[in-house]
Amino acid sequence: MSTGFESEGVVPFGATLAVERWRLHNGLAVLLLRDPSAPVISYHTWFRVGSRYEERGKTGLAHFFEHMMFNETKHLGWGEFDQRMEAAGGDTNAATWIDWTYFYQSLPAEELPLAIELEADRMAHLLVRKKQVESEREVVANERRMAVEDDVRGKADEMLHSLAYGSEHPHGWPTIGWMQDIAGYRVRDCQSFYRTWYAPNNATVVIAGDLDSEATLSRLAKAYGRLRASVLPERPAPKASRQRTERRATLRWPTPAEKLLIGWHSPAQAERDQAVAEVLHDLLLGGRSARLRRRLVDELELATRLRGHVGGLQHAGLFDLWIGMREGVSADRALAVVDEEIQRLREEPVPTRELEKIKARSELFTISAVETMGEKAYQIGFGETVVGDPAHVFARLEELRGVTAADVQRLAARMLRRGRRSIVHVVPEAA
Amino acid sequence: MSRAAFRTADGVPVFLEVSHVLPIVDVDVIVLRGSILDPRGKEGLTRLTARLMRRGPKGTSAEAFDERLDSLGATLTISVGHESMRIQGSVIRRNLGRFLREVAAVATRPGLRRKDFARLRRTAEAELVQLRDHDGALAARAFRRSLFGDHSYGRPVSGTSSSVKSLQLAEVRAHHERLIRAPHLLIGLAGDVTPEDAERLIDSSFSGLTRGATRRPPRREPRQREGRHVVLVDKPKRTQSQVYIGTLGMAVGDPDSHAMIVGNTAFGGTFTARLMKEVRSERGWSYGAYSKLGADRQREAWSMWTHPGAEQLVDCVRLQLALYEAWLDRGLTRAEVARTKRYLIKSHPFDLETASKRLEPKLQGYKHQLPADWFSSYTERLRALSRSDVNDAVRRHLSRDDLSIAVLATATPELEAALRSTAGVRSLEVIPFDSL
Repeated sequence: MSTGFESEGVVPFGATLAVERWRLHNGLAVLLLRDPSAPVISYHTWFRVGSRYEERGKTGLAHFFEHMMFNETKHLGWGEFDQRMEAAGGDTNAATWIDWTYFYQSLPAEELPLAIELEADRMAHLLVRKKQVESEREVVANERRMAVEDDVRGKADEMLHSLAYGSEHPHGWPTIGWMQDIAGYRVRDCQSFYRTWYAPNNATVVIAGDLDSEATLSRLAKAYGRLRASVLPERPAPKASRQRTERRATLRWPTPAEKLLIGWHSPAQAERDQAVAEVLHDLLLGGRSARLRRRLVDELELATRLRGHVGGLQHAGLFDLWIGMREGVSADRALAVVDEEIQRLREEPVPTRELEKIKARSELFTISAVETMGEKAYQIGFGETVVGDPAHVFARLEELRGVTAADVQRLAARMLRRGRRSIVHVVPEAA
Repeated sequence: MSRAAFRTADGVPVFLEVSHVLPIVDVDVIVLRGSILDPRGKEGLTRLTARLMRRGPKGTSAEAFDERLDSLGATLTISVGHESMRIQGSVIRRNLGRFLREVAAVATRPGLRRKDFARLRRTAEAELVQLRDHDGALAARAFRRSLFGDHSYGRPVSGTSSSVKSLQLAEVRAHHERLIRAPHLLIGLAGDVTPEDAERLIDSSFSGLTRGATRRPPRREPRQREGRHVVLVDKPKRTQSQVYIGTLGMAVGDPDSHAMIVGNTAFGGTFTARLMKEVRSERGWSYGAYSKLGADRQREAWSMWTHPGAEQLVDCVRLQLALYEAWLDRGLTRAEVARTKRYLIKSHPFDLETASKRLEPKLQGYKHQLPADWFSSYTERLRALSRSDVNDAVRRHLSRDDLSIAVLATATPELEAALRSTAGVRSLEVIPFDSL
């Protein structure tokens, strides 16, 4: 092809679709999913930079750039990015996590050239000056107040990561950054961060929708072809946790009832054991018939709310449980039940019927996760960035289907150990 | 009004949106009765009824029912609003028949068991206590109470601690009998199902429904208090506040609906709208700054929401009021109206992207008895609007001076004095956060 792109093959995406992989000479990766089922496109740009790429004292910079990228560029005035997107009927936003930052646009299919033009522009021509940094600093501080300072779950989550990883580990600081670090960003920190990480060789563009591959590649080459690759610093994998003893912290909070946040170290997203961890998580928390939900909420009426999350990171993550107790109920009682259920998982094979139930749920959630064009683009971008497989969502479903009772027993014994867990205990302040 | 694909033997209209793109089917059962039926002092009755229904049909335990649903690869929720109840689920295509039987059984033959009732009532009470952790929800609750006063829309769907405590199983059973009747229902299926299969499966699942309709409470126009009234929800140690400011909006199907959508979107519906631009982009005072145009069978709320830091709270409230006044006094510019119309028209394909999104207008059209072309002519209606159509509609529906202002923050004498001295404020009431 004469566009300057080289093909890196085609990856099936579910039963009927396929992802084309392309690479531009400057390192930009492009993944195209042609799906004419609706006259829309979803345009994602995934950068391999998240909070683990930051340094102590400058935490939150990746998230800060999630905001900064909507500001002025050499070619666009203040607010013009959003104005042009909205004038085209587009919806645009971004998100940051430990391994990545991504930006998206959902647009009518005929507006694809606009997304290409604006995304290529801000990848290389963002204005990072005092005015822009100061204006965004206050917004981010307010976001932190909302998500952490005044939010019990946000605060507990921040404490759990610090506890489980320690303050030196890049997974141990919050993605939004410590408040004192946000207050201390200097313009040159920001300029250096932008020049280093916002470059074509650190990005993957994912386009899903009603598109013509050849015309799209031609436009992409024109817009991105002149951008220069960056010299990406070596980033060694974060050290695996050596935690051998339980860690605990107490959070006093103006809340009516105690809460518990428990986290165990869990596998990396690409590992097959992450599929087993997802099954374990679902056995405990997924759906109304899940073991912990049934015991803590229904039978014993100790808790009103259970939530959890498992991994999702390029390197080892956390398998966490959040338990909101009923007023006046001690969190110790819930913890005893959690321990009993984990013991049961270790000692008794999960009945086939229960395992089949988890697999049926997984099938539904996998299909539901690729309904809209935006969801398809997200799954492709996430899979490529974290695992290196744009069809990871389907590969994971196959792995989930293959999980056995013995797998569950083995991982429960290895992963859900007391010595490998950290606990944040939220205590009502008046108590 | 939307035309049903077919009707069941009991006359229940069924709407379909077929798509074979993915092997799943979404199921919707809408009950045209909601929490406004809750007697005074019994707030939470419809919601508790819905939750007890969700525990499963007669002849099975809640545990066995949940097990069956999870094994089908299905989700099922029942939600309650002021004017309707909604039973919604999704299922893997191959299990649709079994799932529909479960949904029908939950709706028409729920167990409503004593053991479950006692447990759920305790859970509902406990959840109201947990609400105290959620500042935004507390402020929203205070706002609605202040705006709607004694109108049904001001009474919380989930009830209060005392109202929930007073609920009895006999009341729930009688309430279910009143709610679930053929004339109150409509059904929707979206996804990987053929019309023939849909008709066969629905007919075999939903049958033998009670036919007579019960009286629906007549529309009663909510009345807005004159002047601006502040409710300050006092919660300790807040570094950030929650602010809801609003007034009465409009009902679904109002001839001004499209003009109001344009007006609200331009004022506070997008990232470049006036409210976001001034509050967040220019000043960085609040991470979020949006306005919302609610609409239901009766006039709903129009409101704007921000969450400024504690030190910017008073300035932010005053700025919001100034922006609001400027919007009503001087209206939107021609360019703003044109830009907003273009955005709404061009983004419309996303409203129809999936089968379940395409089903929704059919359900809403029937539910609110809207003209047949209400949704299909959406973009034409927007195109036809002039600047004055939009500005006049906004002035017709929104009161400039009669506003409810709900603020959740840590109360101090200085804050109270500053809010009291804000333009047009006639009263300020301070309530503890745990009294809501």
